[in-house]
Amino acid sequence: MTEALLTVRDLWKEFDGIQAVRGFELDLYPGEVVGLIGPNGAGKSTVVNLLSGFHRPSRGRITFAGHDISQARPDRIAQLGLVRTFQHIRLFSELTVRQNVEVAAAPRLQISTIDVALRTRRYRREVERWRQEVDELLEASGLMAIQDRPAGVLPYGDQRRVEIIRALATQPRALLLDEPAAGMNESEAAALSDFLEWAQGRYGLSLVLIEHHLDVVERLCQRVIVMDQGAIIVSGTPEEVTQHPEVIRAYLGEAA
Amino acid sequence: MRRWRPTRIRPGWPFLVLAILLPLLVQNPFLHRLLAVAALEAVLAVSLNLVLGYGGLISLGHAGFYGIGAYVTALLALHLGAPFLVTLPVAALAAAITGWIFARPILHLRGHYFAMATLALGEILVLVAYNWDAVTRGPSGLPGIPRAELFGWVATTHRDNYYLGLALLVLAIVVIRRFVDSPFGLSLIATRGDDQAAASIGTDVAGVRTMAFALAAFFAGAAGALYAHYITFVSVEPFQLTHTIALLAMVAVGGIATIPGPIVGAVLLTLLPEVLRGLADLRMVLYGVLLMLVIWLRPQGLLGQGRLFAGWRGRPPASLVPQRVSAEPNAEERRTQPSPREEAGAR
Amino acid sequence: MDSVTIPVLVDQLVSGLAIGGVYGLVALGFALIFGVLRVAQFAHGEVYMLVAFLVLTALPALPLGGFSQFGLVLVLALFLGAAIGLAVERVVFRPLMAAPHIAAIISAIGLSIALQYLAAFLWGAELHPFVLNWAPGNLTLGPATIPAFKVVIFVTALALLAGLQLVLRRTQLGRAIRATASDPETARLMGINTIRIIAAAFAVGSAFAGAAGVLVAALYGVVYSSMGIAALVKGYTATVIGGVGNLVGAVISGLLLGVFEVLLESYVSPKWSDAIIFALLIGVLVLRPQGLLGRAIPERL
Repeated sequence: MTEALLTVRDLWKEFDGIQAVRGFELDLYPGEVVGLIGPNGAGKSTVVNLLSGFHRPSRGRITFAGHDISQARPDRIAQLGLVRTFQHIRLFSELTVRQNVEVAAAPRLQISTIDVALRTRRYRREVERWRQEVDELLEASGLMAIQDRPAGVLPYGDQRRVEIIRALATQPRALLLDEPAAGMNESEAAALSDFLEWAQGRYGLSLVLIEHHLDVVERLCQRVIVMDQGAIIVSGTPEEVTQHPEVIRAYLGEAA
Repeated sequence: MRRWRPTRIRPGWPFLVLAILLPLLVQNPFLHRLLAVAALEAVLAVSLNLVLGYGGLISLGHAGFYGIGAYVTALLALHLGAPFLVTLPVAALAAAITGWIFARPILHLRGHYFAMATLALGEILVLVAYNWDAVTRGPSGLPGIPRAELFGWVATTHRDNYYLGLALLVLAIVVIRRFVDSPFGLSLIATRGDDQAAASIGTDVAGVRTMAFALAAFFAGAAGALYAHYITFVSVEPFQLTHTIALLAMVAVGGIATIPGPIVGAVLLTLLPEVLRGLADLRMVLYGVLLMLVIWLRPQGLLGQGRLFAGWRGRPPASLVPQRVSAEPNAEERRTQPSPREEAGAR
Repeated sequence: MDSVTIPVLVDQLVSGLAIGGVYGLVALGFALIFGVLRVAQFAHGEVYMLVAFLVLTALPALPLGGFSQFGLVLVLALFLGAAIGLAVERVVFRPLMAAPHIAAIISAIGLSIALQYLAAFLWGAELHPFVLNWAPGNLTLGPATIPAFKVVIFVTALALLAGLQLVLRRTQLGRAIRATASDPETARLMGINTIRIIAAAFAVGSAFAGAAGVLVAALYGVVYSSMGIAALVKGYTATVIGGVGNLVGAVISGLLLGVFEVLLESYVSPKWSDAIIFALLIGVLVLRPQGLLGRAIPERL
């Protein structure tokens, strides 16, 4: 059996006396897609914030690709290959689609301030590689046609795709997607599922997917974790989970 | 090949030729003096704009770095007899290193807190210069700094010093423009828009800001070296908060986050008090009123672009951000997405 | 440098509290405007200076003497400050509401320069003596004898601050101001009329700046055209130490700043006290980015 890419053990987070996350656990294997569902306020987004370094855990240990990232800064975690998206899309709205993707591909460049000031050969080579990488990604994702449009004025669905492509430009090993289909109707959500399935297969990614659209979850996920009030209540295959009486009561009861 | 250019470069050559020819055509020492001062102010404004305009960080200590350059130059020249070719790079590096050391711990601070920390740094630098009598001679300042000398040529006249300032300005513009047009510059602009989103995709927010801050301090320090050799006397006055505030005004009046804007602002605001000299005591009143008037008529500055802009909090003000869709997107905004799987499969 | 004795220490503490009370008033006004607008009012110090000059000019015309003169001066300062504040809001800030924040800041800087030089033009750039027709004498407090006027200043500042706290906590307008100061975006979404709140904050904040201006003028006995800069720096410092949006924090930081400053001047070095304060400020910012008294709010995601 292969080793887990992301391991979370006994993760706790407290805000002002409120336990937002209570003993969360996860083993995410390479190429695996895990769904994270639960009613609003269950602590799903807090888990993403903890895993991505935006919040510091009160207790617990997070390991990614052999590194302890429990206390690491967000940019360091992203550079290691664990990249998140946001529940409310956060593109650089004044930059173009292409520039948004370029920003994500920039941290991997091997250049210094001196290279920038003198425009050395290494600088030109690295920038050329950078542009080609972005070209390939835009081409493959079908965003080339809108590459010069300011990201802030795009329709919602396109903004979601740009955000995911931007995350892919970091060359991640795992993505944490926080409600990518939020605010979408059925057909839009289905189109997004196609897109995610394509991206996951093409780049061999592991995904943690927070989602309220259960059809998206059922279609993409091999395993589903259900949270309520900060704790995991059930986990299993999508079929097992959706049949579970506690899930029906805690989650579907409210969502339906 | 397509290249993005956030600075929207206009051809600068005609302006450079004009800047070189002007003092040769107009033989007026008074104008030459103004030009020499304006060139140094322009270097300061252009470098401040890197932090303020592209980085979205309000620095209230920029004149302090100018002061470091001037004092380091004065001390090196007076005590060690160091020549201009030594004082200039050492002064610039001293300012850059101070900026780098100082920036690291405070660059995670948001808007107001960052502004306050830089204000405190600027005040500390001024107070040290003012009170450390043994080294800086306190309020009496350091006189007798030799003129700048380059391979036997001595910059004695206002015009000579103007040309030195102009050369530094050109260097500052080239380097800062290259920085802004590089992946670093793009990352810096991204952190201005949303630093958390930038961090989420691996951008070293503190790192790229530190680089910008140190680079800005570098050119401020170099300008300080030119100032010391030009005036031949250094005391604390030009390095105080009021000067930093005047620099902020230059950047804002000319056009924030543009390359030519701060230069235009520096020239205008250096000339303005002289133009208003006939008004005697009221000239600074009118200066303040005109400052308000320009901003009132053109909030983005004379050459500003409006779109590429960050507010005081390092984020565009809410009024400038297109509304984020949180619930139902507008029906007309819905578009069928081309299926990426089909596209990928077709290849 | 003084040797540490109880009477001297008490005297210094009272001096510190008096000047700290003035800083607290300036800081609260600054913090109030800063809170609702999230823009530094760079001309706040000039409101303080201008009111002090206007009151100085009006002094000979005030018929009263003694404590009633002091009271009248204070009321006059509050009204003048409020009027100037409303005018500043109308002329400088409201037209730039939709503009980027830096535009409002530069406009306020323009106003600050214009007012400072206008005062120098009208009254002269030199120091002007500011003497009230009231000398309350000394107070005996255990072994120490302290000038009663310093106590009056401290008590006045506290009374004004307490009065404002009452208004902010008990009235609907006050609660709206507090809500806006702690989170302008949310307040706007909750349907609070932010334009009215901003005007109110300017009126109240500037009234306090005006009161601080006459109190400091009476404390030191002088008025001068560039006195606003130091007030701005101190008010800004106290606001940040207190934590943006935390009004009580701004007042407490102002008081602490005053006491700390007097003690540093007396026992460490009068020359270096400002530099030490700024160095400590940087330390505070590095260790507690939310301000010394601010609450750590989890970052919004």
